[in-house]
Amino acid sequence: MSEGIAKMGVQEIYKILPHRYPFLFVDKILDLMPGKSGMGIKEITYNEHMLLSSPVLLIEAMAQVAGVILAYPLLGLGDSLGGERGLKRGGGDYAGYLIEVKDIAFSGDVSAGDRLILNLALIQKFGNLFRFDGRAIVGDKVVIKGELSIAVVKTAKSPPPPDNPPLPPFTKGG
Amino acid sequence: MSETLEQGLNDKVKELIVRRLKLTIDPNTIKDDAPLFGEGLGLDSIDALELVVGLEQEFGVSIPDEDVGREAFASVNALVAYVRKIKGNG
Repeated sequence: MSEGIAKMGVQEIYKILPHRYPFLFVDKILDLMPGKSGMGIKEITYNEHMLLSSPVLLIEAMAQVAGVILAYPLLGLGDSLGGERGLKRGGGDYAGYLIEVKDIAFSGDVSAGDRLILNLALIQKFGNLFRFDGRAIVGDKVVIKGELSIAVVKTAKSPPPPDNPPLPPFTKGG
Repeated sequence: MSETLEQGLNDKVKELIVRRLKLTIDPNTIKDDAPLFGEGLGLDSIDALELVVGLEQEFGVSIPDEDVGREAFASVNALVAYVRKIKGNG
C-alpha cells in the first residue's frame, strides 16, 4: 500500500531540486503523496522582497513543490526516504520544466513574516506532461491559485552534488 | 446513432476544442476529418493535455496514455468515435 511522507526538510529537498538560495522557495514539504500531492511550506522573510512584489515567483514556488511531488516516482524512490538515497542534483536524469500556467488568480496579500502554505495536487497526467492544481495560502486566505503544467524530460547525466550542500550563511546581529 | 445525434456530438467536441484551447475560430470551421495536430489545426502537446483534462471533466472520458491519445486525437471524427466507444454508445 502506498504511503505518504509526513515531512521532508530542506536538506532532503536539496537532493531533489537543483534550485538553491536565493531561488529555492520551499523550506519543507509536508504530507507528500509521491506522484499525487504535497504541501510545501515557505516562511517569507523581510529581505525576500521579490516574493512579496510579484506573483511570478509565488508560481515558481508552487512549481518547485510540484517538482518534488513528481521526482519521487521518477527516481524510483518509492514512498520513503529510508534506505538507498540515490538522489542526484536536479532529480538525477530527469528535469522538470514549468511549461504553462492557467487561470491564475492573485490577491497580493503576502507580507514578510507570513508562512506560505503551497498546496499542490495532480489533476491530470498525459505522456510526460503533468497538470497540477496549485494554491498558496497565508492564514486562512488563498493568496494565489491556478493550474500549472510541468513537462518532465530525460536529460544527460548531471554531475553529482556535494555530499552536504551548504545552507545559506547565518549572519549575526543582522 | 442517428446522423443528427452524431453531428450533435461532433459539434460539442468542436465547441470544447475551441473553448478549452481559447481558439479564435468558429467551431463550425473545423473539418470533421481534418487532423487536429500538425498540419491540421496545428495543436501541440500542451493543447493535448488541455483536451485530456477537458474530456475528463466535461465528458467523463479519460485518455490514459499517449498511444490512445494519438488515435483519439487524429481528427474530430476519431475523437467522437472514441468518446462513443468509452461511453458505450459505439
